[in-house]
Amino acid sequence: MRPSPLAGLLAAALLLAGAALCGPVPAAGAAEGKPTAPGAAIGAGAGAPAPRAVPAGMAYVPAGMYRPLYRPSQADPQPGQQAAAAADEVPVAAYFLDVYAVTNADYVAFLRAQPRWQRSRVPHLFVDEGYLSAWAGDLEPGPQAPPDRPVVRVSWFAARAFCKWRGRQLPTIAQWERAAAATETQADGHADPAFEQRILEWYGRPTPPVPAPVGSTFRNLWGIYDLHGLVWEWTRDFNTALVTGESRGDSGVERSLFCAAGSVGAADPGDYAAFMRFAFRSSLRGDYTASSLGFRCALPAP
Amino acid sequence: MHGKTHALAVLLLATALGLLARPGLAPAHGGMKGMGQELPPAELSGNSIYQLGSEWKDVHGAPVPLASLQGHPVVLAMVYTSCEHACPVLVEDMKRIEQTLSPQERAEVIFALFSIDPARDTPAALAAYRADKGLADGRWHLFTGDPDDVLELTVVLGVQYRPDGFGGFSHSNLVSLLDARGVVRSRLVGLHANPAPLLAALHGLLGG
Repeated sequence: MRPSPLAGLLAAALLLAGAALCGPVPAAGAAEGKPTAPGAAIGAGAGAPAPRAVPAGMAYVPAGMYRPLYRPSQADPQPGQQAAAAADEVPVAAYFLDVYAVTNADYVAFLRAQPRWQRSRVPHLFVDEGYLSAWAGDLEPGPQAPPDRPVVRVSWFAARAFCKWRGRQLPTIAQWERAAAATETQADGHADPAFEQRILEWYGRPTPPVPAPVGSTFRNLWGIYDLHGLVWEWTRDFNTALVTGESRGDSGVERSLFCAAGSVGAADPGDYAAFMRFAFRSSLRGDYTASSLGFRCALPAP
Repeated sequence: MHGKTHALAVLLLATALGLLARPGLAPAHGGMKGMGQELPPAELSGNSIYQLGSEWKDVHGAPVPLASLQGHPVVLAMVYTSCEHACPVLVEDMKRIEQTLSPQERAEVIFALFSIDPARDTPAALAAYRADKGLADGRWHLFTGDPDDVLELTVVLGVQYRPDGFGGFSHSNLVSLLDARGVVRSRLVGLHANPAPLLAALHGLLGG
């Protein structure tokens, strides 16, 4: 079955149902203390000015914090280690993110340069049968995929290859979520119910047969368009979710084996939109394609 | 970095020409099998994991193209050596598969472990792990590699993983069986999974 926003919604609904049915959910921020953040030191400090040279078509996002929907599991610490509270927030080093999602026109250029990824040539290991299926031909997007629309029905492998070709990489979940948390005027829109509501309304709308042009939704604080309201987007580490039905029983995470696993560990159980993105990512596989799933690229800032 | 890019380009070219489908080209290192075996078909299946151009390091630190495993059934899992709980069980599950094979069958099969923790799993750490677990040299191959190649292989195999915040990883427990061309033919999902379906598929690959 191909994943779709609907599948993501269903999965999210299950997660939320789990939260409702299986007892109390720990309050957000229940983990006390000031643990050291996992990961390494970050480059530029928060608030550092944007570097002079921003790559073409990209926007600068300064270093900051990202609050993962799920903290690292505390269920199964390594022996000899304290089950210390994991960090509520993780640092995200400064980076650049494409202003727009990759368009069909961009993707044609990639396919000309890297014919291996053309529909008729690409190995099936990397794409399912839906790959670019709305296109008229190998190098002709056609009427169902106008040049200014985000390219969709591309797999993780294909999206990753595109970004590599551009000298870039797919954004991590942390990078994508940090950028996407921004409203038109604020870096973190989580506290703004209207912003949350806008995102949820988009999730509730059916996928149009042809996506709207890039740039047709809003420009956020960082100058980035369409992080919400156009298409879902691939992330580099989408397979770090570990809470899918499929992973139940095959995972090293005890937490994912029982009821409400989807919500008990959540940092902010009220963030329904984040739950849905999380669930959608969990439903993906690297070769999957979907009519509402595109991507953009990122680059670490110097 | 440049050297690696160059090596990859050569590998991709060689793959495109079907050259790597000949096990005779497998690098001579650490007793990798493949010498003198019958040639598999030259064309790489579209579903073969050997479509990946990644290159790994074995316990001796020698570079090993992923595609050099082809020509034999491969039983593989992705683990990390400092793992205290799930990974040893996965390896034991694989050893049990090994033990059910006849000596002739064993000689045909490669058992491979790929590290999801390349930062700590150096070739030396992998060598120590192989000795500690009593994994037969020549039959068991342990690999570490570039983090991006690790990510790619996890995605191809359907392994989910992430750092658990305590120096370890949460990860799917999967044992995969590849045929000689690198197509996944069977998977064991979970710890202590019933190995019968994978063994049946493996016996099928070994000709009964």
